[in-house]
Amino acid sequence: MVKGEPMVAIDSLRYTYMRGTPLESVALRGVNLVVYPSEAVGIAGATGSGKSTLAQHMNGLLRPSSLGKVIVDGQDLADPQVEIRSIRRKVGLVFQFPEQQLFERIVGDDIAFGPRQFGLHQEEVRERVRWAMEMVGLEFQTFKDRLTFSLSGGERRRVALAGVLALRPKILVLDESTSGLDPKGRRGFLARIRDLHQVQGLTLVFISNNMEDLASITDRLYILDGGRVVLEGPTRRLFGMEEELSRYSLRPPPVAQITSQLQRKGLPVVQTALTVEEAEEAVWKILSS
Amino acid sequence: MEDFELLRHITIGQYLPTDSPLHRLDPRVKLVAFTLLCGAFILGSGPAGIFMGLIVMLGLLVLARVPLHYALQGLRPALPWLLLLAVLQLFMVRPATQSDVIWSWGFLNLTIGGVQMAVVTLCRFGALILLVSLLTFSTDVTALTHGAERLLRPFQRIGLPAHELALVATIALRYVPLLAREMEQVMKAQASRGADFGRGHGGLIQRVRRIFPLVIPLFLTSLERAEALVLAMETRCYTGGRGRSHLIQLRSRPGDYVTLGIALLLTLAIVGVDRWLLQPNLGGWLAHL
Repeated sequence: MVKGEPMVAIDSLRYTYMRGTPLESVALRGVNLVVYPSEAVGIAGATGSGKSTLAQHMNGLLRPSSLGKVIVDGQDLADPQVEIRSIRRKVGLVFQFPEQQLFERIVGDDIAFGPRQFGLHQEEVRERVRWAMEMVGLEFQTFKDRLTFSLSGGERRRVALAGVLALRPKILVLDESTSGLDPKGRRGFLARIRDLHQVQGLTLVFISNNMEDLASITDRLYILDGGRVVLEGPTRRLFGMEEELSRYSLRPPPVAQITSQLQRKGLPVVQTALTVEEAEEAVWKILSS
Repeated sequence: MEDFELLRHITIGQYLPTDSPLHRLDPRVKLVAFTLLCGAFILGSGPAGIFMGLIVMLGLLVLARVPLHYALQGLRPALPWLLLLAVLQLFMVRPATQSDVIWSWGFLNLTIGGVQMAVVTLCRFGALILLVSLLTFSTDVTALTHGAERLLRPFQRIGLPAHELALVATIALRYVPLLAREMEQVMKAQASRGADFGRGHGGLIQRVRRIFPLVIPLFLTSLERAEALVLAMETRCYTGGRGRSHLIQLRSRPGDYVTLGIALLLTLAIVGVDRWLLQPNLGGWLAHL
């Protein structure tokens, strides 16, 4: 498989919070991870496994200490010469509950915050805001002058996503960004993310504990436990490994569990299903054979 | 470089669960001892007493199993102010005789008394900061407020709302780390969008404008949190202090009384060592009063 130069290459990364105090806690204990261009990589793991710490290394919010290396788009983040804001422009990071970062009164202004920080021209800013709003499914004319805090939760989250997209990043890192949305809002949000990846070719790092979300978005998966990568591989293969996953208190999505069970019963199932449609097809095949 | 770990450099108010003998003391006793020693550090004016106090503080920190370098880190934020205060003190003492003057320039006179005052002031504040740190290192917020509530209860007769005061204090203290964490999160989110908190360049207006993206989200989440707290209290039928019993029943053991006695003796020693022991002519001192 030819993938070219990695966009993100993390090598034996370690990180300790509150270093040098009696309260220090080790978050990462030597993590290796690679993200290739146009890939959608998932990261899963229990709370406290180090997912967020890892994500924050990807855009230089946390910098690697002497141990471990983080290379983003060919630049070593430990190098003090590297302009960190240029990295932040390349790697868009969306946090959990990103709507909590909104502060402008008007939607358009909030989305324009990022581009303005980088000193872009008014025209360029406007163009980017328009594009970003379109990408998240908020119509520019209707929403640009709406009051930020009058929007629904789902809409506000889309505004927050647009605020990051307006930087035109090459990589989008989503850290549990779908949690707390209602089913409809969640589906809409996920569909936008999928479009960004499949249509716009954006490289994705999708951090989540929702196995269905991971199944519907990612190609490859890393499982973190206690600050280490314990499993990695194509999403489909990992979701066929029910027993290994359960060791880290994770369970494959229900559809994958069904096909695995059918396989165990000796029925001819070609592959682990990741979507309801795939599972349906597998069942049809069994019934018709 | 930006540093987002806001709590790493603040030691005052931090609880360290080391389970030392000091941790196991009755919080009421600790509060009384704390007040006594506070008074001693403020009233004690002689160098011997203050030095003794400082050494006692260091000894207590060791007894509380707090790493000394960590406790001393807490002095760092206050250091510029302390030094300023000390420098002012240096020149505050008027020379009684000409032989006292070490160095003089214009109206400024450096005297032996001034140097002594400056050193005593530094040690006094150092000891006070360590004392406050020690109390919070060894006592968690719940114990502290329970202790304060019990101690204030006699004053209820004159209309002091002891329970309410304790509750307000608990909530306020509990919110400090939460706010710090939220601040950290918002800072990281805005930095991901290109906000620059690392340097202090720009004019006043620009600097104030840079605070908006932090303060507005912080205010909003705080208000939401306060509302949720009100609801949570209402749903649990909270009606104030009247007729409430306590889950934690404070009980003093012999060790607590011994501690109280030691604290009282120490207080007398710190205040009195210079006045009574090192000044042989007690009569002269009394006349001085």
